[in-house]
Amino acid sequence: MPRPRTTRRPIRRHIVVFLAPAVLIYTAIMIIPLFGTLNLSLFTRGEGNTREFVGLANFVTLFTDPRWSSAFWNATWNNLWFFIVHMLVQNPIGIALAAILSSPRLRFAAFYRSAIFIPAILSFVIVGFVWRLILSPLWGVAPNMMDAIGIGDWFSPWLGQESSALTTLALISVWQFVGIPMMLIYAALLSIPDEVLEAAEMDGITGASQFWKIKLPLILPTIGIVSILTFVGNFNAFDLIYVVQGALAGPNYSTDILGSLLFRTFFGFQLQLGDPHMGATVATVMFFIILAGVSLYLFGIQTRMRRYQF
Amino acid sequence: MGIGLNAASPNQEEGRAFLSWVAGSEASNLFANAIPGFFPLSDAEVSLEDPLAQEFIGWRDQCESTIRPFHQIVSRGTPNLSNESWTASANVMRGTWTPEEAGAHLQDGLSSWYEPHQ
Repeated sequence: MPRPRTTRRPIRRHIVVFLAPAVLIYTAIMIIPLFGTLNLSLFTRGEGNTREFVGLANFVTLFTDPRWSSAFWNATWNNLWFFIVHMLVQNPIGIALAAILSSPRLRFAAFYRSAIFIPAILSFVIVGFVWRLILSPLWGVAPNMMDAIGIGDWFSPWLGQESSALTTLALISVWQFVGIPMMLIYAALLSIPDEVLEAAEMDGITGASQFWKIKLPLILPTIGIVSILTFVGNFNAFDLIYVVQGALAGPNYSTDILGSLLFRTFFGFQLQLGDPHMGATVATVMFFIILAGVSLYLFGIQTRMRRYQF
Repeated sequence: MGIGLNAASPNQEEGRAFLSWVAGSEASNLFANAIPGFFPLSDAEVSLEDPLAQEFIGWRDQCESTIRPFHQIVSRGTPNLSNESWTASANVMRGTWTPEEAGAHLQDGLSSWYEPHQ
């Protein structure tokens, strides 16, 4: 039976007050600059330093001009490979490390946890420079260390070869950030209640099969979050490439990803003059690539993911 | 390019002595032979020992006194001749391009936008 409405609900002003700080700050530092970038990409610099509206002409240039489009697609495929290496190497290793760390029989777990996480809090500049020195064929320690264990012949100047430079950089990045999926998944593993694991043991599911059949399905939502963080982080990556290979992303642009292409286009490099309008165009395309990836995850994967409540 | 002496300097004598040395033949020869790839702009008599350097400086008979392959005006377009030169020289040093291929690539890029080369 519907209840007769005698009094109107009061306007809940406090909601507006509570939302205001976050909305204002987010608008000021994220939304306005985002629309500024989108706007900038629709203009070009005309004669006499004026700003001329050109519609989508910059995008047409980016996708159809042979030089621009080859640079853009080169950066996009490199970026995709950078992401694939992270998904295939960083996240499985992160899950494995978390599973090992959460084992109650492991001694010195806190030490390993900190040791593996420390690279993630180091600066890109330090990580990039240190790895550049380690892998240097002239004075790096890698050739000598490999000689010492008899695999010196396998060494090659990985950062200087077009075929291996990008994968090497991706693996350096994996080394640096493997602690982040490890920590997130470690926390998810610890939050699995003991009753569930005890019930599994009662049913005779222990050891590795307990991990595959009980724990892994329970941490799938966390793995999803880790994947999307990896995707966004990789498609916004720039720092490591810039530190190790410079803005020209050598050798022969083989390590050029969208971030480094954006940097060169927007700010210029050496004698190349910066072009804010083409730079904003590249940034807009990057934004849409990331938006598409995140939407695919949110609507295609996350809504179908089964969640368990304890 | 020039080099001068502060008129109010208390060390006028020493300054003049240094300037006449640095602009003279001795310093130019030292500079030209000890730093490969750099060429003195001095009017003094300079003799280069390296045959390749001699060939380079021989081009001055046909052009301006300073040879800068990718500076100023020829680097104001897309593709940028300066950045392209960095990548092309690295490719030549790594052995993935021949010098002829590098030259053709740079010329191709320059001709795509620089009118005097079209």
